[in-house]
Amino acid sequence: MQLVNGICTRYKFGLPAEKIATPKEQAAFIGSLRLDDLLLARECAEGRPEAWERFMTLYRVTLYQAAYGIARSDSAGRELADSLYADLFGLKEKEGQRQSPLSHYHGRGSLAGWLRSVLAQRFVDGYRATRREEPLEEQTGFAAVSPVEPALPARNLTLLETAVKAEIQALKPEERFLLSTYYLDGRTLKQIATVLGVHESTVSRSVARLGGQLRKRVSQRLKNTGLSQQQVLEMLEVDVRDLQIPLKKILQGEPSSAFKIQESEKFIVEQQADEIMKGGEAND
Amino acid sequence: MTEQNSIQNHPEAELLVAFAEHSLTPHERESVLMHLADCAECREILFVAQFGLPEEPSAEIVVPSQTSRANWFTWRPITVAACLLLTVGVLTQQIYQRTHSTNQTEAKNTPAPLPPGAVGNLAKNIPIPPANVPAAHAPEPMSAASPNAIAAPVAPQKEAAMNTVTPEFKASAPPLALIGSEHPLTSSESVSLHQMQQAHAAEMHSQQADMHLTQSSAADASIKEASASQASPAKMEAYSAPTTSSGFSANYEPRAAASANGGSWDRSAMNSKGVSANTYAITRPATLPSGQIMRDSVVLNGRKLALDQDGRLYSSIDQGASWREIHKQWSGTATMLMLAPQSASADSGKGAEVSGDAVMLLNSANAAWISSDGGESWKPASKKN
Repeated sequence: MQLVNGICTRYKFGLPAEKIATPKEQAAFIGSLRLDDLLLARECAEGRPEAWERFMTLYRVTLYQAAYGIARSDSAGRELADSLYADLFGLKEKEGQRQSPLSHYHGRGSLAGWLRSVLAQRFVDGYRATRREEPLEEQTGFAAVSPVEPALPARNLTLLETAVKAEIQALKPEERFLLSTYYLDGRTLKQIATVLGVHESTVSRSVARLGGQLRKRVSQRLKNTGLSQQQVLEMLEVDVRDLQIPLKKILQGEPSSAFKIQESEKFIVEQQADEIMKGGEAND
Repeated sequence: MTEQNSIQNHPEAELLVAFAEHSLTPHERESVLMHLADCAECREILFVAQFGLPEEPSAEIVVPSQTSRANWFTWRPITVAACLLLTVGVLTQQIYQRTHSTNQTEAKNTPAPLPPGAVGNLAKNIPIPPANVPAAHAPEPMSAASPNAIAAPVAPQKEAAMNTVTPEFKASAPPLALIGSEHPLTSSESVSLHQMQQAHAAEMHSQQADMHLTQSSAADASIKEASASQASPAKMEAYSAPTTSSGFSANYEPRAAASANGGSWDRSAMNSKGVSANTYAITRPATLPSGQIMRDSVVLNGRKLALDQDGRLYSSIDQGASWREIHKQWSGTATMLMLAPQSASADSGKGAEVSGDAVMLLNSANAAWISSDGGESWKPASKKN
């Protein structure tokens, strides 16, 4: 019970900090927790053999299959899974105590999903570390790109860049997420639909609608600056490579402040949560 | 240090999982989505983690589809060959039918075209035939006018049908069942023409027309006489078929067919009295005073003798306009009349004594009686009768 209280305090029932959760909201939050997975993870983190036996029965195959799927290679996947498996078992020790990543699991999602996510995070980190060591020419051929002379006057280009930047920044977070994942990351409609929990056709329609709306809004903004319809059309036909618009930067914007927790605040919250959890374990 | 700060600002892996599993609260979901919209790194982790998902059942469905595709490629040549054969067969049949119908149309003697508007009037006024229309009269391919034909008023009367036909059309009515093959008609028109054909046959039947058609100009004089006297000029015009290029007259119908149509062969054109071998005569169905269709007849010296279906014998001296029954002088049922051959006449010593032209009557037992006075008196051809 103390363990659950600590999680509720840590996440504030999934509500904004300034809002006090109603009993219904508290019940909904607690009901969304994966308590079975949470207890198993905690017992495994403490090194209980029965828990590990159960964990191996339930998740060993899942872990390795997920690693193979993420790494897209048997050898790399096995290496990735073995590495995480050793860490999960708590081979690392700190101050004489086992350190298992499972202790950071709080039951917000499924344990299998959490394992996949940790695997993915480690795979991406490892991939980026490897990419940093490669020569720049071998990456994506950016060095071969030669500067292109702009097809529009400088003033018009500036107007277009300003309009595009303003309209993209005015989009909702979900709309920017859609555009980013589809156009920048190159994700498929099916992948996006799986993550958002909607149908592929819904994602397709949304992307098409967003593109149309964005074009219309940019056109209107350009017209408001005094340009004619013909000029606006010419500007919208310009090659995107002529623009000096950092679309990626605009789309991704500044890092969201949603998870910018002040260090002091975070420290206090973690301290409170740890105390609650330790108290709960002692009571158990 | 900066990098560490930015990493700390990322949502926990657990929240990314919960986001993908749709188990976050709305506020948390909005926060994570806001971060994901800006953070390519977290988006990458989020989507890469999806690669580790166990394969969905849909992936297994792909296998049968590939198999079916492979099957299609396996069977495609056979399917294409079968389609080609089917197409060739259909085309061949259509060409054969078209050629056949053209020959029939040419042979069936359609001298006078339909009067303008006649078909249209028929379509409007002649009712739809019953459902058991013979297949031979099946309408031509349906056209847009079909619904109108179906909606035609259902008041089937032959008189109504005939009233819509002009006199010229009545006189020169061609074999109507063949019109459709040469003139593409709507279904309503075809149906109407079928009705017209039936009405025309009834009219012919009621007029007791006994039409004799001959091809050879060297036909027997009695045949010529009978044909000239019994068929009106208009009807002769309607039914005298021009000889086709092959020299075959369209009215040279097989005997069986003529019998099947209710007609009978006039054996007077077949007897041995100088009738050439290629002389044929068709006796159109005609009724006798008994109300029955004529079974057989002969013409001798301007007098016509006819048998009905029951074997009663009738005599007419005005070419069938009036009939007089001759009392029965033979046993059994008379089935056949014929001009007595010379040999029979010469052999008359065995039975009846005949002189000059004589007529022979056969009963159902093939026993013969001979009359030498135009059918008034009959004597057995042999003593055993």
